[in-house]
Parts: sequence; structure tokens; C-alpha cells
Amino acid sequence: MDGGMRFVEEFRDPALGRALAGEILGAVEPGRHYKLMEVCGGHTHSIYKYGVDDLLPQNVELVHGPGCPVCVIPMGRVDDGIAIAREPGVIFACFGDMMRVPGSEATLLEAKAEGADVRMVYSPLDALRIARENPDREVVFFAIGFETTAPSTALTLKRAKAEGVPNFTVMCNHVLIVPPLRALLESPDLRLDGFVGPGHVSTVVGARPFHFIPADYGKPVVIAGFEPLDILHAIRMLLAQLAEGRCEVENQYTRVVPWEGNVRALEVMAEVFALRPHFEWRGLGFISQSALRLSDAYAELDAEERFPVPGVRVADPKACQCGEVLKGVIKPFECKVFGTACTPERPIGTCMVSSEGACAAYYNYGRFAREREVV
Amino acid sequence: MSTVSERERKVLDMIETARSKRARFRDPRVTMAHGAGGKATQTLIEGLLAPAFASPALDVMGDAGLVDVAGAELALTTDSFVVKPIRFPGGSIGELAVNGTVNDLAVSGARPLAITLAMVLEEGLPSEDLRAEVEAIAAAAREAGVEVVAGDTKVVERGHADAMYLTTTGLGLRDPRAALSPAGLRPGDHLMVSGPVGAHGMAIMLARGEFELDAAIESDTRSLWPMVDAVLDAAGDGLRCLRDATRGGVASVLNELARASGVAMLVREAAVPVAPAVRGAAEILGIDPLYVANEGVLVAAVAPESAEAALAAMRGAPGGEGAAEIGAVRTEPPGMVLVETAFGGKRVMDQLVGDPLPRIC
Amino acid sequence: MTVLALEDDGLGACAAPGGAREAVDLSLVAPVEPGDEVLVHAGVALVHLAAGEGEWTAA
Repeated sequence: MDGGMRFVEEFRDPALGRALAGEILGAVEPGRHYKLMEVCGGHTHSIYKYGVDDLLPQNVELVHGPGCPVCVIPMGRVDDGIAIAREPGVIFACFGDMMRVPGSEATLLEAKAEGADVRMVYSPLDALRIARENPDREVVFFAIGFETTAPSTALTLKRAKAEGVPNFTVMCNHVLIVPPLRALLESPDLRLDGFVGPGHVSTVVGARPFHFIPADYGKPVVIAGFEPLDILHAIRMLLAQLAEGRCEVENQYTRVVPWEGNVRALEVMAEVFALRPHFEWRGLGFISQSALRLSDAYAELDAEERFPVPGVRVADPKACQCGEVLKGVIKPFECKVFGTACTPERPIGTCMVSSEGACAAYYNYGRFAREREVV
Repeated sequence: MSTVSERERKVLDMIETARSKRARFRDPRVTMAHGAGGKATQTLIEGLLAPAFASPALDVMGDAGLVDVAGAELALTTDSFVVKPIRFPGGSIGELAVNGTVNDLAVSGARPLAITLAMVLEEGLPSEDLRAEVEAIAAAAREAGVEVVAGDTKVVERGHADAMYLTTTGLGLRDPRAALSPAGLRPGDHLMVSGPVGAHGMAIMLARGEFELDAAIESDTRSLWPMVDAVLDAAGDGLRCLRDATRGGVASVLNELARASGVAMLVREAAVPVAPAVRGAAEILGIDPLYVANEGVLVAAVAPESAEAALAAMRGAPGGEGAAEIGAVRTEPPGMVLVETAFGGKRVMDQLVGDPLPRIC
Repeated sequence: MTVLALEDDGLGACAAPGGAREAVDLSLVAPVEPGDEVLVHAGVALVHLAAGEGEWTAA
């Protein structure tokens, strides 16, 4: 077990971190400003947790991407989830961090306070266990996440179907990583120099799906792990590509990510899920073929088939400029609703929902960051 | 980047103004977040309770209130216990009900003298469960050197309470050696914790059996008075302030102290003691142990010249073997807690809104 | 996480550093054996980590 601990600790070695930070400092062109997007919410979390951005030169800016799976769920879907949770006899299971994401009127946490039986689970398998233990109740799992979490939901659905658990359904909100990236890259005002590619998503989909980024849009991608050294290493690799005029998909996380991904996981997903024609992303609007529903073979396990859902689309307030913040076009404080209509207590867009989103971080820590820059 | 635009300055100033305003309690309903010890709890206390009672002793926001009775300085505190499950590895609700209240007195610099006990019992509760908890209360009170001097029992219909709720009120006598107040914090003071953090909250979270997760973690519940007694002897008035790092964990306590005193705190993450099993479970769940509740860990701010003696006294006291210095008080930025991460970067360690929730991404 | 034991039906018990144990679906990385290292997300093992690949090799 000690070996396992060392396994992780090695990737958090401060001396190696300082060495890498020094190499990054040596690799930047003076006077050039670099904007690099870390796509994955897990990276954003690591950057925050270890203070990685604090080790970077001032002209290397990290832009937090759209890859926080709870933050991108639009208000209308939260409303639909709450409507199901309020159905008599329903136990509504979801991941812990989903419970504070606001719908148009309430969060799942508030729905729980009003009497809905909302339970926090750590994995969809926990929700299936609750269904087995409560045969007289309907158990609905609110599935969210990118391709990293989708295999877990898919395997759970396969088990439920094989065992014939009649009181278990899934409300599927799984989303795909490539469509929002393409949507960002399509925008003419994009100001990004490169991407730190998602590590855990790539364990499932592999590296191939990201080739369009250098091929079609001329931006380098480095798939990275989640330890702070991984992220610094990926940044150094991106800067090297930019300096050498190379533009390709590289894999920093070779110890975990195989180029072809996990084929078995993709097969299970293909069996259980089907593409939705379009899906709304909080702050980013509708993106076509960007999300999954249950396939026809699994329709009987689809909560949206079993329960009435309002399905009302709740428009993000017009003034919300999450899209521009994500593209690096504007800074959080330049958004029209920042700090007034949109605050961490009452967030509107995805960047304010997560405490590590660009806007929430700026709201809470902007003053500190400003002081640091002046020093 | 280094020049702050006019617009940015205006927006940041506006946020500052909004944040420095007294919290107003405007939530339509009480949610679990209001009981979690973070920002929502603070809004409830500062926005509803403190203005309603307008008591100077309450406005200090300490762990116990001080009352002067005919020249004797008494400390008074009360606490309710609603833990689920009522028995968990390392303790039970009865033991918590004594230690929690005794510790609120101890960290206020008061020697615990007596407690009262009120029980709300659910109809149908097995008598052997009740007997076990009464025995746990008696044993913990003996251990802590307090007498149970009054009590009350109510029974509610099945389903209207969860097994049992306990409320204890504690009376203590302020120790003449103690001059504890957040106002006493000075830049350069040393910050210490009296043991590994996060064990109690993590033990409860796992004991609920909601996650397919299992680890050998026991609650750290214990009376802290012997330790406080020893530290007061060793550090005297070099001991600036003590807090009991219960719900919200060490992070919330440090934020409360920073806000109350207008100083800043810098915590060295690598210096914070965390048991390996707690660290492992916390990592799986995506929870920071610094936000997880303790029932036998105190946070101390100590003047530099007394720091060594205070730490030695802590380590010599029961439950203090793992005590450690975790950081220092600083001037800038006022009211904020910063963490120097084990990796060498710095970040802000803010108060949470509610309970730490397991994260998926 | 380290695989501790295999159960029927593709499930198994895994341990994190420090000894926390979790029930994990191992079917996407089978075959694995007790002692193997796997990457787990939301109760499912996604990658079977090869032995000796835990070394830091950036430099």
C-alpha cells in the first residue's frame, strides 16, 4: 500500500515542479501572451488545489474550459430532474456536486428541503443498489458526465436490465467532449493558443478524436494527467510545439491513456446509448449531436419515458456571456451580469456555478490575484 | 496583466462592498447547508440570530458565552447532537454530546464544571440503545470531570425524530490563565492543530453506508480540557486563541478567525497532519480533509515565543501526540486564509457554502 | 487503486492508498488479478495500469 502512495506522491514533488516551472519560464517568448485552455474540470480542480497557475509566468494564462460536467447542465434539465424527484414514491439519486446546481427556481438540495427524497451517490451502481433495497419505490438516477462517467452508467443499465430491476430508471444527461470543443473552435473570435487535453475522457475515447483540432483548426493538443507535474509537463510540451511550429496531438499521460482508448467501454456505450440530435449547454446554447440518450433497446429504463417531465427550455439570461469567457474573448469582470445578476450564491452561467469556474474563482479571489500581480 | 483597468477596479470594489455587508438571511427555506457550519450557517447566525438577540456576549461569536455572576466569570454554552448513525466507529452520540459541549467550554478558556442533558427520543427506540447511550454519557462525563446536574426527556411519535436527539448545556469557570480572543491575533503568531484532521466526519460519512466505500477510520471524539489545561500552563498569555474544529473543519475555523480578527492566515498544506486512511477516503470522494469535521481537534494561535512550549504541551496531552504547526498569522490579505500547497503554489482556502459534497469531475 | 479481490459478475474490491476500500466494476479491464493497479472512475475501472509505469518520466 505504501508503494501505491509513492505512486501518487511522486507526481506532486515540489522540487520537480519548480524545475518544470523554470523550464516553462525559459520556453516562453518574451512579450508573447499565451492562452491555453484546460478542457477538463478535473484539470481545473488540480490547478486550483495545487496552485499550479501560481507557478506559471504571468504571460502564460490558463483558461478554464467547458469540461465540468455538472456546470454545463442547463436550468431546464435541472427543472426536469426536480419534477421527477417530486413525483410520489420516487427516490432521486445524483452525484453530490450536482445538488447545488441551480435550475430556474430551485436546486436539488432545495427540492430535498421541500420533501423530495434526493440522495447523494458516488456511483450509478450505488443507485442501483438503492433500487434493489427499496423494491416498493421508484429509483431514478440523474446521470451526468462526459465519456468518463458514461461507461459507469452504461454498465449499471446493463446490470439493471439483466437482473430485471423493475423500479430503476436513468435520466440521461451524458454529454460528449468533442462537440463543445468544435463549437468553441468554430467561433471566429477564439483567442486560444492550445489545449491541455482531457486525461480521463481519453482513457475511454483515446487520443484519435482530438486530431481534428490540429488538423482542422491549427491548434496543438497535449493530453495530460491530473497530478500537478502532469499539468506543468503538458504546458511545457504545448509551449515546445508552439516554439517549434509543430501542431499535433501529443500524449503526456501515456502511463494511463492508450491511443485507442478503452474499446470495451465504447462498445458498451454504443449498445446502451444513442446520440441526441441536439442538447443545450449552460452558457453555450444548443450544440448538435453533443449528448446521449438511452438507446431504443433500453427505452424501458429511461426515466424520461416513465415519468412526465415538463421539458420546458429555460433560456439563459441574454446578458450571460459564458461563451465569450470560455473562448477567452472577455475576462469574467467584463461580462454584463458579473457580480450583479450572477454571483456564486445565485449563479447564472456555467463559469459561476462551479467554485472553480473562471467567474466564481474571479469573484472570490480576484482581489487576492490583483494584489499578487502588483507585488 | 499587471495594470488593473478602471473597469476591473470598479467591479472588484463593488464585490468587496457586497461581501463586507452584514449577511442577510433571505433564503425561502432552511436547507441542510444552514447546519453545515459554512457560509450558509454564518448567514443564518449573523443575519437572523445575532440581530434578534442583540447580546454583546453573543456578538463575540465564540464557542461559549461569558457571563459575570457576582464576580465569578462563568462560561455557558449549548449544543444539540443529531448524528446518524447514533453509533459509529470510535464513538456514539452520547459520547459526542458530552465532549462537544465540554470542548466548547475548554477552547473558551473555561474549566468545565457541569452539564445538563435534554433528550428527544423517537417512539419505538429499543431500550438497549437508550441504555447504551446513557452509559456512554455517564462514562464520558466522568472522564471529562463534569457532573450531569439536570435533565429532561421528551418522546415524539415514530418518524418525527431519528432515534434520538441530545442537547447538552455546559457551565464552566473561566480559567484565570486564559486571555483568549480572536482580537489578540498578531502577524507572526504560529498556527497549530492538536492532531490529525478529518477523522470524525469521514468516519460518520462512511458509517452511513451510502457509498460502496470502506476504511478503518475512527472518530476522534474526546474531551480537550486536559490538553487546554496543559497548553495554558505552558504558554500562559502567549496562547492567543483556541477553536474547536468541529463542523466545517479546520478550514472553516481559520476563516472565522481571519474574519473576526482582520488578519490573514497562511497554512502550509504539507504540514497538516492527516491519517493515511482519511487521506485515501477523502481523495476517492473528492473531499478536502481540511473541511471535514473533527470532535477532538483544536486549532491554536500562539505567540512566537510560546510556540515551542505550547506544541510540546499539546503533544504531551492525551490525543495530542499528532499535534503539528501548520502555518502562521500574516497581515495580507486581511480576512483571508491562504494555503501554500504541498506542490509549492498558493491558493485561497475559502469557507464552503454548505457541507463538502463528493465531487465527480 | 489496487485490486484486492475478484467477485462474481465482473465486480471486485479495490483499495486506495491508505487502505480505503471500494467496490468496483472491473469488467471493462478484465482480466485483472489481485495486486494489479487500475484507474477507477465512478465505481468503474477504466484502465488496467501496466506494472512499472508509475515512475515519473518527464525529464
